[in-house]
Amino acid sequence: MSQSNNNSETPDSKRLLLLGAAFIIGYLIFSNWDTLKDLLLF
Amino acid sequence: MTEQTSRFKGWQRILLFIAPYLFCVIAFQLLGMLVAQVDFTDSSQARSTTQSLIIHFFDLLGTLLILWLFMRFVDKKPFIQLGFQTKNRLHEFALGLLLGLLIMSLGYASLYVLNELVFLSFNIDFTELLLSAFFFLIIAVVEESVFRGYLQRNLMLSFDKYVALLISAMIFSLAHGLNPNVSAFGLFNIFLAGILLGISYTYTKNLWFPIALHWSWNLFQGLYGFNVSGQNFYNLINIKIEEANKLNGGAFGFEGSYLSVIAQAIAIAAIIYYFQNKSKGHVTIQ
Repeated sequence: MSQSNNNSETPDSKRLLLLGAAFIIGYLIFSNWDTLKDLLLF
Repeated sequence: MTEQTSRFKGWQRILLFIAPYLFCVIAFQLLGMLVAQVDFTDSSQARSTTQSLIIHFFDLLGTLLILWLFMRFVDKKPFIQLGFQTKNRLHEFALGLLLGLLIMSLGYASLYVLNELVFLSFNIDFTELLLSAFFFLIIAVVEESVFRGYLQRNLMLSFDKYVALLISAMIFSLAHGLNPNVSAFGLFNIFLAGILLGISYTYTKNLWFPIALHWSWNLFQGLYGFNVSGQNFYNLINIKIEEANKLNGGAFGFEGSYLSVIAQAIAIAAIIYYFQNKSKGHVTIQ
């Protein structure tokens, strides 16, 4: 009987994925702050 | 038909709303910049009124989309309950327009008499005038839908209506924190503007009066030659301010001045007086 591989769905890998996404988003915001700031003027 | 209720409280919905709202309006404005052929890698590039109008039109689309999605799937209420009901609202809309015009006209006249500003020339351009009118209408609809329609409305479901008004005015003020030429006094003025624009909403739950007042306030402030919330737009009248100070508002515009504080305080008192005398009974928020 074959065993399904669910390793990619473990909580640790999800946490790592979220951390990676947060890092990329943070980097994009930081490196494009001048442009973003112009889009957040009220 | 059974009415659905949201699983979140009012203040929770606001916390949920902030990140998707910012993401949506930034994405839509970037799209607008592509359409308007604005180089978004160069923030120092000056934009024409048409380009600003296109970008803010996309801002409007993004704002309405995210508001619709939240009203539909999170608040589970009809979109119109943000406060867009039009029945018997024409006179309030007209009052809002007149109030903005009155305050800006008196402000300009007072500063002129006090020698705080010098009239230089007229700068009549009907195309720019029309574009500016559309531009500031979009700004008014966007900001009122978000700050009064969504934020204040949901705060009113969690807190006392005056507490909700104060919190929404604070958020409105903080949102202007990235504007150019901003100061603590300017932000205090914007806080008062948040009260002025939101006070009628506590009585009516309707957006047409604040939209009209916001539109008129910004448009005429710009036309009279002032900056608007620290930003320069088309001016029908060219003025010169010899020395920037808190009496004339300096580079933040009339809404950075002591006169603006006085005008707003009087207008807030007048609106409270008007609605308390009107006393048509409470409006139940749904």
